[in-house]
Parts: sequence; structure tokens; C-alpha cells
Amino acid sequence: MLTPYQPPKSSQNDGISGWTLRCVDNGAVMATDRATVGRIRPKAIAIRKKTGVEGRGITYGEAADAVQALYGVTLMPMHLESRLELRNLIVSGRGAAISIDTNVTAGTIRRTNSFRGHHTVYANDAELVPNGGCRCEANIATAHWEFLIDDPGTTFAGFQWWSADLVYRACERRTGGNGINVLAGKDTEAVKWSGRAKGRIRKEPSTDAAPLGPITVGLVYPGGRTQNGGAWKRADGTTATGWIHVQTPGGKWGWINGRRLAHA
Amino acid sequence: MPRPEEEPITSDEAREHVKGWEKEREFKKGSKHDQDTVDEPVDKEG
Repeated sequence: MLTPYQPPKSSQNDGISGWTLRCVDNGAVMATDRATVGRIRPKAIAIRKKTGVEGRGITYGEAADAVQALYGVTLMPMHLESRLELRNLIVSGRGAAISIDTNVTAGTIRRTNSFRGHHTVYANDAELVPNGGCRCEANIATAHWEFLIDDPGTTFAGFQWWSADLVYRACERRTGGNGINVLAGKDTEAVKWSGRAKGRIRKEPSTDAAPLGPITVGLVYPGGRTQNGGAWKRADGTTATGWIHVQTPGGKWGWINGRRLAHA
Repeated sequence: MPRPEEEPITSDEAREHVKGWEKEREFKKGSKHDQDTVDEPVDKEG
């Protein structure tokens, strides 16, 4: 199965004072990176400083306001009413930080070290795996849903597949069964994009691939899926790998890196 | 009978479903739901 563009893990254990409190900050880093297909990769400490909050975890509303002010990127704090809404939000093409209680994941191989309590992880994808296709902690033989999760509270574990059942129960424990709280980025799959910087449309998701024509700044391109591909440079000189499949004015499909497009 | 969240769904179908309620689910900074998202400090690296 093809997964959407996956941002690199953002671990809160960055050596900067107060790191133990920055689950939400790092979830917002990954949600912002995913929503911009790599164009913007915030530093977690920049989000924290913008909120002005010290000595406690920040809220999803505080994180969203900081990301909007710093980067002009909209993250939406949402209170979902059901498991179905969470599953469909992620399947629709969004990445989201999700609010959990690790008392549910403790004792499984998806635990946050020895920590038990209120925590945030980041979900990048959800898939229905077929019989025999299990990749999650539960080793389930039959078809079931799984979420692709990164836990900022771990340092060495990267993205891992969690059973949907584990995700739902961890979210619901956090709210006492009263819904599921998330911080969601915009949809990146099958949406419209606007050219924001000159460059070339490529036949494959790589700066070395054959060009299919120039990017027109301001032109709206119908988008398909996103994925990781060849490396390119952000405006700040750091490296990213996000690519967007778009339809050219001539009807062909090609690839544009995340730096050169924005949501239309 | 499988619950709704266990049934197969395409991304297009999911997108249509989300359009029906996404605006209504947004909460504001400082609201009760927002306060529920404040996390406790994790313990150690691993």
C-alpha cells in the first residue's frame, strides 16, 4: 500500500531544558511538516517560545496559534465524537497530533518508555491490512485497521504501526470516554495546490528526473497523492523529501516538490 | 456485525464524510477540550 508523505520523526528529547513537557510541541512539528509536504519544518523550541508558556505542557490551541503566527500554517484543534471520525480524518489525507493516556499503552511494545499519563503522539496514516498483513503490536491474523504513529516521547523508535483498537482506547481513556482530541493539519491528498515558486515539474519525484515543463506561479494544479522522494533544499537550507503528484495544464501528471506549492 | 470504524472505506469516501462535520469539531484555545490537551512530563529517553 502507498502511504502519504511521511515527515521525519520529531523527538522531544532534544537536550533543551524542559524537553519532558514538549509532546504537543513536537506533534505540531510533524503535523506542520506533513501539511506543507516538507516546505516548513518548525523547530519545536520555536513553537514553545512563541507560546510564552513555561513549566507545563502547552494546549493544542496554543500550539495552533503559535504555528499560525510563525509560519502562516493552519492546524485545527478538534474534538472528535467517535472512533469512526478519527479513522476517517486520517484516511481522508491528514496528519494529526492525537491526545492519549499512556496507561493504555503501558505494558505493550508501543509504550512510552516507563511513562504513564497524559501524552500526545502523531498519526500520519491509517490502513486496513488484509489477513496475514499485521504490522502492529497485537499480532492479529485477520484483517484490521492500523495507524502509523510516531511517539515524540521515544528517542530511538521511529514511526510504528499501532492497532486501531490500541489507539482508540488510549484516546478515549484520556477523555474518560468523552470523545477524542486531535490537532490536525490540512488534507494533502487529492487536493488543489497553487504554484508558489518557479521550478520544474518532474516525471518522477526527484530533482534529477526528466522535466515536464515549468511551474507557473499562481496557477492552480489539481493534486493527487503525496510521497517521499528525492532530497531537495528548503529556503533555510535544510533538506526535505516531500513531493506532490499534480496534473499539468496539458493533462499529464508529474511531480513538484513541497517547496514550490502551497494549498490553493 | 463489524462496527462502522472496522469497515473498509476509500480516501474519497472518508473525505466526503469529514466534510460533513469538520468545522463543527473545531475548539478554541482555552476551552474545556483545549485544557484537556495539556500533557504531563514524560520520564526518560528510550
